[in-house]
Amino acid sequence: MTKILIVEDNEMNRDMLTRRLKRRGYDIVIAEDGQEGLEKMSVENPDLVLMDMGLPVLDGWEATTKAKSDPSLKEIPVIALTAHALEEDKQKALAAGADDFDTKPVSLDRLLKKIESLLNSG
Amino acid sequence: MIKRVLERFRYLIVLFSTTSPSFPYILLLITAIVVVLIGMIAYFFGLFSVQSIRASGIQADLDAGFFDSLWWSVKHVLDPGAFSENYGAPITITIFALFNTLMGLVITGALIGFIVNFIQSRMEEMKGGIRQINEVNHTLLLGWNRKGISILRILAEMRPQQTIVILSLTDTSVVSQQLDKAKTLFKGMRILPQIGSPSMINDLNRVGIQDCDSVIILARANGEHDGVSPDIETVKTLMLLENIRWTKTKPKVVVEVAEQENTRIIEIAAGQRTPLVSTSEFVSKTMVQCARHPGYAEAYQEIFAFENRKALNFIRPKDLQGQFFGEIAMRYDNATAIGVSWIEADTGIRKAILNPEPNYDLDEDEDIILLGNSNFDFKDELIIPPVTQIGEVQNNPVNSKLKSILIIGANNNLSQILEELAAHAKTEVKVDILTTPNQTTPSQISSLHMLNVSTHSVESSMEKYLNNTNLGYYDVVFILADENSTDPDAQTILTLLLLREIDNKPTETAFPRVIAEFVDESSKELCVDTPITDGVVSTNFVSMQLAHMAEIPVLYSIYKELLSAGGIEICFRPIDRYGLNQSSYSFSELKSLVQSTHEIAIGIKKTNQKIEINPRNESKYKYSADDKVVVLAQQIYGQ
Repeated sequence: MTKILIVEDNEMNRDMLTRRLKRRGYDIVIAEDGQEGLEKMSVENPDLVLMDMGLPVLDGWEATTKAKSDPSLKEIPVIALTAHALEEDKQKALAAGADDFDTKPVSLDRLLKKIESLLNSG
Repeated sequence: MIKRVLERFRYLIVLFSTTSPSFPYILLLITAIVVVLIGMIAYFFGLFSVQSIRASGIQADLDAGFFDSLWWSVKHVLDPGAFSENYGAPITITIFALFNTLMGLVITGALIGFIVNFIQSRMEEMKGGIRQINEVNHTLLLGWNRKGISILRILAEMRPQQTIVILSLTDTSVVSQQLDKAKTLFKGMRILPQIGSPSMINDLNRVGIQDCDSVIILARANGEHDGVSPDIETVKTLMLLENIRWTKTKPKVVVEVAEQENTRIIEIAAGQRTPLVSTSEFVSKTMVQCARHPGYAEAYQEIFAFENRKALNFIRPKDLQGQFFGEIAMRYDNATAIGVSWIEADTGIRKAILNPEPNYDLDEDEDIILLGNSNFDFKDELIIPPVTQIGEVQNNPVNSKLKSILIIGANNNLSQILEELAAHAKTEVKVDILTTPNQTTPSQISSLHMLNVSTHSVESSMEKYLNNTNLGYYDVVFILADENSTDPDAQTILTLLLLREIDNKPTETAFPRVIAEFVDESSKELCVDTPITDGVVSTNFVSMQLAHMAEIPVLYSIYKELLSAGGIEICFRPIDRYGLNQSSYSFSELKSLVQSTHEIAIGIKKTNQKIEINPRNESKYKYSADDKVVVLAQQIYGQ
């Protein structure tokens, strides 16, 4: 089963994604901040990470940068999720090493296409 | 040796007399027995001699010995009139009779005194709120402060048939007096004020902690804590509740946090899932939301006041599995589907999500969260209204950006307001704080991300300072309540009057939005003719949260979500976003258009009119350019 790590501090956003992705057959692991996200990436070895950018402790940009500079984690695809809609935010996320980018509110159909695309290209 | 025994005996008597409440009764009984025995000694002095037996009150019908002596003695102790029956008896017998009669008067008098005293003290206990409560499914209000009346009013609105027991250290006569003044608000709800400590297990047992349905823990009132944090009593109570061995289901608990810095320690004492309501956090977040969305306070109060049969309902329509949230939501009338809720199988906790995507596929274990009247309608078939638009729906909403803010006053909420402003800031925000010499500002101001904060101490008059300030430079003016004053709203009212004077002067720049914090609703009502945009009445808003969470715990996560940066929020969309400018449309048509932008329409804000929440689907509106739609939406930054 494909394992997805959701790194999100907002409980409702986390629950919404978890429930909807589980119904589509994904195995879900969650982390509530960037630091925990990095730890779960190492321990759980997910197939893909959905990373919110505005996180406490260690924000999503830093967590993504660290993950992508770690040889053992850099191959895990990361989709950055953010409520910031500016083009520069997208560029910032991609510059941090995110493989793709999506804005909130999340459209599941759009997100699923991105997930499948990254999983199939890996 | 004898001396030591006597000393020991005396000590035991003193100890017993000071520690045992039954001592006076035992002493009275012993005295009565001794007096009767002394009276019986009359037997040895010729009680039944030929001379004595002539008296009508001395009879020797039983045995002319022990029992007749006992009867004679007891009769003289209990009945003072018996002395007169000894006429003609020898002087020795008369002396014994007189002694017994006099002692009888003393003993009877003492007995009557004890009985009166007992009845009086019981009545005092009942009046003073020291009695055993035998209620089931009642709500316990632990502690008493200025939010008490407001909480009771809201509880009465939600469930008028319930019983509320108040346990606090505040004198019951004070609480009763306040309750009497506001009794018309309580709709016949039974309220029992009791005096006692919420952190004492005996007092909690007395007010039926095991049988109650919910517990609201209030922070101690200002001035009651003598330098000790008002949250200490709350922490002690929570620790006590954690250690109680519950014979039934543990009641729902909601806690008021008085000082924001104590939140963590209260969280540890209460457990992660216990709803905490921090006045400071709530007021700060609400004020910042009011700055972002003018009219927010009114909308919030209108939505969550739950008055006039409005409520939050959890409804599970038939055959829900596989249906889309958006389709189900459109079928409700007189109520708005705002989210989805379910009970987690492993914890039994109800969870919720707000504003799901219209194509959110529902599961059979999920309920629809319905905001609105309990007499809502649910249409069997989906009706998609044909909508004629004069323009396209704009998908990118424009959020008002805050660039410069003036804060007048400083209180415990200031640091939280700054943190909240920083959390929402995308670009640098200039913040000027005006304080009076007796007000202090938090120390960590300079380290806040995206905020450029300057503090100005106004030594002379505030009027002079404000007159010399270009208020048009600011987007928003916050006025904070003066917590150092006995009337925290007095300074706010004065400042608003000053701003009205300034606003009346001709100027080229637009006057900023003004958001004021009040402690009392009546103070806000005084300020209708001032340039106030939003008034946040902390007492009302926090009471509302505490009362609601005691009844519906899942509201904790809903309220938290609505006020947190980065989550779902209540906001206002200009009507022209939907291409509906200046035309007549039904609310269901509007709902459908709003849904297409992944938002939920919950009401209408017509220019210069009150917000209307949950209009009927067929209600037709002719919109003007300044009208707004009240929506639930994901917070988006950057536009």
